[in-house]
Amino acid sequence: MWTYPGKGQPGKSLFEKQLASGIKELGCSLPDEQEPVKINAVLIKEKGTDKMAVVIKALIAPGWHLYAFVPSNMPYIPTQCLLKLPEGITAVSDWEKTKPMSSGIAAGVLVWEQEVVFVRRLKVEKSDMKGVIEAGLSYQTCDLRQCLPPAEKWFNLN
Amino acid sequence: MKKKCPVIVMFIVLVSGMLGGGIVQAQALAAKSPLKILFVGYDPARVPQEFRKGLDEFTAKDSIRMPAFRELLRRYFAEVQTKDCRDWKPADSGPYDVTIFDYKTTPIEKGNDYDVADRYLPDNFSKPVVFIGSTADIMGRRIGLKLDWLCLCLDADAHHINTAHAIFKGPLENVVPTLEMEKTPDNIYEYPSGDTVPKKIPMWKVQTLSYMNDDHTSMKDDHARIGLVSRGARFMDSPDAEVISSGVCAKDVTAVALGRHGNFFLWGFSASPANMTEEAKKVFVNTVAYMKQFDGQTPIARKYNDRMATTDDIRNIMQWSTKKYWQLSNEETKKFNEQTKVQLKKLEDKKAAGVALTDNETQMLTMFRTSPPAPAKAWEAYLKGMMGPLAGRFGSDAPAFQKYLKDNIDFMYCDPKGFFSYKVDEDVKKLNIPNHSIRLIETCIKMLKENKDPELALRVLKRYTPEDFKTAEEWEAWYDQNKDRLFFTETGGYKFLVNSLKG
Repeated sequence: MWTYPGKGQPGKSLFEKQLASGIKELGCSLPDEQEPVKINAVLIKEKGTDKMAVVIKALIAPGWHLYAFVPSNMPYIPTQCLLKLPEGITAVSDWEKTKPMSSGIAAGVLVWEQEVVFVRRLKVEKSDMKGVIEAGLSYQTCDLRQCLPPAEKWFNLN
Repeated sequence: MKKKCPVIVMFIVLVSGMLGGGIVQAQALAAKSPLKILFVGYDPARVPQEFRKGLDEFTAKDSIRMPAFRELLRRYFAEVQTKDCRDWKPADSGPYDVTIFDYKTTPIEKGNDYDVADRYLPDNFSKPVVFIGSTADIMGRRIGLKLDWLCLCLDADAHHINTAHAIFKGPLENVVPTLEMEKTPDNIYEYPSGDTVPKKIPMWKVQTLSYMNDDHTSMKDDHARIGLVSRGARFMDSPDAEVISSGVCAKDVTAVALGRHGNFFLWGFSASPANMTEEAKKVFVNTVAYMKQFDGQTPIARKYNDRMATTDDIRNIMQWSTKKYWQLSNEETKKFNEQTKVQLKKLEDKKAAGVALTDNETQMLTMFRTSPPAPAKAWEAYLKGMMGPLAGRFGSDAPAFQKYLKDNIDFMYCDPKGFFSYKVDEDVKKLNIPNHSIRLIETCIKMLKENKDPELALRVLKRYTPEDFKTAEEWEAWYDQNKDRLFFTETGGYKFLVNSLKG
């Protein structure tokens, strides 16, 4: 089930409304056994202000999961959000993430199943900012039978 | 220290040998193997290039790897050269008897993000290779090696070891591995292959670092790499492959930690000699020497899809689709939830006592406080997951589903290009001949010759062989020439192939 990961409350401000709607509308093709994780990303901007947010959404095929937290005595590879900002844009929050759940297949491991959303809020320092925001995920997905090699997916966001 | 003259050392060895003296160790050290070895890894003299854990991990601490391997290999082999993996090209291995890859090299052809892996080796690469850890899958995926990525989760110990294998016997060192009875890892019992495994099994320590030790010697704290295990399902279904050992990991007992496919060897354990046991170092150098005999060979059965289903998997599904395994799965979930609660309590107590938490512990505390426990699965949902596309047909009737799989196992076609997809081959079922039996080929050629349902016969022949002949005469000539060398491989394309190793 889709959950809003933001710290802000949807509906409280125009930007929060815009963000909530952007997360909901961010399309992602359906994952399958060949590609158990499908990812998409979008940049949400509030017109006329310096507020922006990067949104990354991952859909996960039934039976598969992504790792949110892995204790040091476990071999799995946790998901990492990736972000490269051009000059003139700064991050003003940590990554806000969908709440993970305990894994049913390993002690102390937290995972995401079905869907996960990551949000990072940004501030435009220069109005004439040039360049591209690069955002992505580094992740490993596993099911009961296997763990696929770790993968990395990047998006250029204008 | 003053070096001994090699001629004098050789003389001592020869005289001692003539007198029947048992000086195996002295021989090993003095009379080095004439094999030429190339070690390909990160040269610490070059600009360090660090990678994140789990990808192509290389950190400052890994700088010990190339010198440690070189030192070990030079003790046993007359000629050992090292090369930075970023510079290696296939032709560089030409003058050497065996090449060891500790890290992936520069791709010689880029793949895509979707279904074509980068190419590191040409298909006809026939020089003997020993891969360390995940290098096997990364470099072998494009050329169809069975040394695939089941899980980057191999720890420090081997088990289910063929100690009679040549790599324990020589040619450089005779090793009687020290086996200790240890508790069987719990995860082995999550798979039907673990049903007959005793609660304690003999284990052989390969390396001194373990990521499973929740203390400061853990691999992660030391930034050491984690090892790779390959899929054991039908690994041995071609004459070019052998499994020597499994190892402690997060998967089933058939996972391959030490294995060979053609001229390629998987040494799944990732420690450098700096962290290998003395016995493992000896077995490692034996392995390098063992591979020389495969010079000039290439794998016969190529596995291009690591996620194809096999009949081993179908048999597992048959057993998993029972209430026994459903209950076991929920018991495990409950146990893990309880363990997480205990860990949370320990961390909270530690914090309450004013003891400083590590960064890892602080992160754990935050995550464990806010994350809900894993829910137990209802029987119907669990069964639906096991049945996959057949859930619509069998609903919650597990016995009917199991019977269907059992009755049709000899006629199942596991699509080598599919992703865990399998179905009954109605053509083969109509003939009532198991598709792994050579009788199927004989029968279809006969049918073609006698013009009895020739369309079906030709369909089956083309599906279960790599050939594309049109006439019965062509099929018969091919069969007569190869019948004694045909074998059925699932992972190599779900068909009969010719064993080119057999004269």
